[in-house]
Amino acid sequence: MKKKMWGSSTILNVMYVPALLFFAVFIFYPFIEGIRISFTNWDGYSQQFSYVGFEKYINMLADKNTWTTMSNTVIYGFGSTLLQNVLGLAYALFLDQQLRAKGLVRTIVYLPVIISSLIMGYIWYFFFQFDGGAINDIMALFGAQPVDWLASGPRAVGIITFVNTFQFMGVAMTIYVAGLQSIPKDYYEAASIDGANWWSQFKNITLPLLMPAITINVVLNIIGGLKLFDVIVAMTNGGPGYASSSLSTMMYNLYFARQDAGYAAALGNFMFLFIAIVSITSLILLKRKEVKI
Amino acid sequence: MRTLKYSILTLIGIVHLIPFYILLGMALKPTEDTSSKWIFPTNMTMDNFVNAWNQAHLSQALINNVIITGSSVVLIVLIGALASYPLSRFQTKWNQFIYLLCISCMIVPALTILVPLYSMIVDMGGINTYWAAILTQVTFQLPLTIFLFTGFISSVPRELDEAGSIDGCNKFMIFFRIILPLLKPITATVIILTGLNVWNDYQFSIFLLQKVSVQTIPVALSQFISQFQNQISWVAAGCVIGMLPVTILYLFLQKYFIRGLADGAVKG
Amino acid sequence: MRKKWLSISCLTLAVVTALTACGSNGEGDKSSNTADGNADKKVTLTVSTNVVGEQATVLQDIANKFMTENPTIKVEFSAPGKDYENTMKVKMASKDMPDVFATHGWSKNRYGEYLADLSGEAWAADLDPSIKSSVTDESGKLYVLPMDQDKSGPVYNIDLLKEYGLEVPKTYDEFLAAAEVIKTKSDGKVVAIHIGGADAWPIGQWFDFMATPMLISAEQNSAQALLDGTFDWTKFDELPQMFKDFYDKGYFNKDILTSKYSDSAKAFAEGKAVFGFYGPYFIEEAKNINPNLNAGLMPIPSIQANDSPTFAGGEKTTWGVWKDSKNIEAAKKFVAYYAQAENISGLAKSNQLPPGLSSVKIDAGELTAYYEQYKDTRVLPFFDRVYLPNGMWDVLCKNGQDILAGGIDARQYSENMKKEFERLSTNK
Repeated sequence: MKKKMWGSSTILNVMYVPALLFFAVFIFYPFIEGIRISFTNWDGYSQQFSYVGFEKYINMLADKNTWTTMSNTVIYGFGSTLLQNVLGLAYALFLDQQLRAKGLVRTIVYLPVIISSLIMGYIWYFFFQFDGGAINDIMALFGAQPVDWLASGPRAVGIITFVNTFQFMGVAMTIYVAGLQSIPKDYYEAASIDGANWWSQFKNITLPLLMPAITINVVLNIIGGLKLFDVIVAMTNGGPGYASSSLSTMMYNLYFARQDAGYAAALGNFMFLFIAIVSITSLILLKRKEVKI
Repeated sequence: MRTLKYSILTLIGIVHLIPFYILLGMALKPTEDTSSKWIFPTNMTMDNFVNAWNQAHLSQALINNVIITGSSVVLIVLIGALASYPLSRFQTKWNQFIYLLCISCMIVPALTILVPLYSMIVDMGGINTYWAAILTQVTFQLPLTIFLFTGFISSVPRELDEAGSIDGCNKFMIFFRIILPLLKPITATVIILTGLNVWNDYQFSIFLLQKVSVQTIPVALSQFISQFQNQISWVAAGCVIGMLPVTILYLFLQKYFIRGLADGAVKG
Repeated sequence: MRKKWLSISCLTLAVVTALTACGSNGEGDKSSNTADGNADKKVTLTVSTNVVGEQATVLQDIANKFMTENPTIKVEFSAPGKDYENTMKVKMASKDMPDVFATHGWSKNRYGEYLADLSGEAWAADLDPSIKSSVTDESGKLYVLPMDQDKSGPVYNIDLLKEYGLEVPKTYDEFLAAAEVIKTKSDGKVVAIHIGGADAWPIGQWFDFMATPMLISAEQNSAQALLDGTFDWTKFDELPQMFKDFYDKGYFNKDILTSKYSDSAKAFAEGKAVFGFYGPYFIEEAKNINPNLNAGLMPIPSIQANDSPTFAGGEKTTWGVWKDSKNIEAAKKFVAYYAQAENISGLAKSNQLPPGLSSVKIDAGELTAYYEQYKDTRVLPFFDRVYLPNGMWDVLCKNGQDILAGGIDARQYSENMKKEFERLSTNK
């Protein structure tokens, strides 16, 4: 009987054909082109070029900047994800209590999310500027010497991670609040009666039931963090040198400023593979841990 | 204990408001005022806003943003919801593959495909047109949309489909008459999330929309900032204006967003 | 309720389709209009330039005048600023150039294959000989209209120099000595040079200036070696080392890695920096902040013994015509309009540079006196435009940042230069 009912399901598949068409035209075809370009020495704009085999890939692996950028990207991706989720959850837990004006505070925390990352980058740049930056002003008040915050690569990476976290932790917080509110209160009551303390309740009730929310947050954060671009451009433009670059900004720089489209494409394909493997792995691992009510 | 909680609450509120406080302060300061960014101006001026608005052609940019985002969102919701129904309901091996394919499109870096994409659009005659920008934006928001819709649809009981079938509806009618109306909460989420992404898009718009008459706010603002970077107060004013439309919208729609997220994220 | 949803969606779709249809019709699809030899039909020219701010306004005003005198030609003027070069590269790749565009120093080496030959134009015979070689090639093809020509060297604050009792340095050693005096007398508050390193290109500018006296201007030089690819790159080490030493001694601004070009203008205007390694336009920029600034132009100091200071010269503000433009006649007419004496003069004056056509008298505002004073000083082309292949600029800048941040040393700098030099040279 089941077979008869859902027999015409294949007809329904026509419903996703429009979406597939979009992907084919605007993503797949250019993507294949991108792979082709990675095997050339094209400079990005002239009409001539030639095929150079794997040379660009070899250059990429030998370039010390690639590894700096890789590690930066990993920090941006995982660092942001970790901070956003820990802080987001902490905020969600705190703001889920009976407090007046908590809605207002939630809105305030969420506000940066809707602003373009370019603008957010500029706002925070005004904080970390050497001359007249908000933070150096405060330091001057306490008699300390002004610091050139963004001049050191590792420090810049940390600052950018912080800015990215600040901007998007509202998303994590909101999703966690929603998740928390969907856990039936009787579970907690039952646990209290059984004598479980706060931590035990958290570990055994909250966390497992929050897994779907955690999955979404972590996967989306990882992808977003690994692709980070706008904020970096606004604050340091990847500098000094490539010290705070992410794979995206390095690719942008290689393609336009360095006029090495082949190298840029090779890096782009590498980036795609890397992000794909990392995010799909995280998705699978996390989905396994989900508990269905 | 209560005072501690409220102190923390206030602290959080203040800390997260500081950047905006500083931005607003900078935007309202007259250009000659070089006092510290922490000090709010006593003689405020609207000059910076007027200058930013005119020099960055923000009135035209706003119209462009509305047109592009509005059209994109309509298409995104329709095509996305349509695609998500079979992918969520009939998880054949083939459909699962298609689903993964759609999701993996989220990962493709914009730059790898930028030049071939740009070339193709030139050949189609689409540069500086609304339709090319809209179609590109739609394509890049579809993966996230499908992700959210499929998650949500799987939480709608199949019995409803069956009931509809018994009542004589064919497969398509089940979708349009029964499922689609139930998707309102997640649709609100999709509209907000993708609408925001399209509204704030920079990487594609900078190349597809080069003429001032079709530029969106991020593009116009970025050129304005690079052009007038020594006029910090103008830059700040420009940023404030760029933020306003989305902020106002969010304040009205946040209720729907929270509910949609709850159902989509948690039940997914 | 369902009906309401459905009807709203349909209505929106209808509106959207109508709007997009209007959008595409109104804006035109390709950047050039339909080819039409008929002079009566309205023609739209797309014009794009890399300059911004005041310089762009001057150009746009002339374009507006052109439109009033030529009612059948509409000009769409765009000045996208920092994205200009990137956008142009993407446009070159897809063969979709503006009808008229600026070449900012790269008419032959980068945009060459996309430019129409302008040697047949009426104004072509009037080219100033000093700029002619930069914009023509051996076959006689004229690539662009050079409206002004760059005659760049560092600029300096006249009042500060006097205050510290210094003369305009002619050699690099004199320059170093001056920097030390400035540092000690001001107790570190005023620096010799302020460079906005975060923007990258200011660093490249320093290298571009100083490479000429180090490698090209002296009698024994490496010009030929660079041109035929036999250059020994160990000879280059000295330049980044000079740069690093200058920073270590405290003669550059401390925040060189995070400050921007606009910060340089501010510092120079406020008397916190004595020299600016930018060019005459920098004075204009600083004067916007402090109109009382007294600034002068000096040639680049020499480095080798028995050498003399030089200026860096070449094309600055130019118009080129896309050789595949569908409105090539109108485009040429547009360019010719700018070649008129009053327009050239107005433009050169606003940039404080000599004009590109010899029939127009120099009127570079306050700097006229300096051009007069230094009229016998040699003008050598910008180093990177002649001796480095197209695309090396970024290497100069990024490595410059890197060496200051301690990521590489001078030897590695030269090695990186060598690698990119070889890669980009073989591509041609």
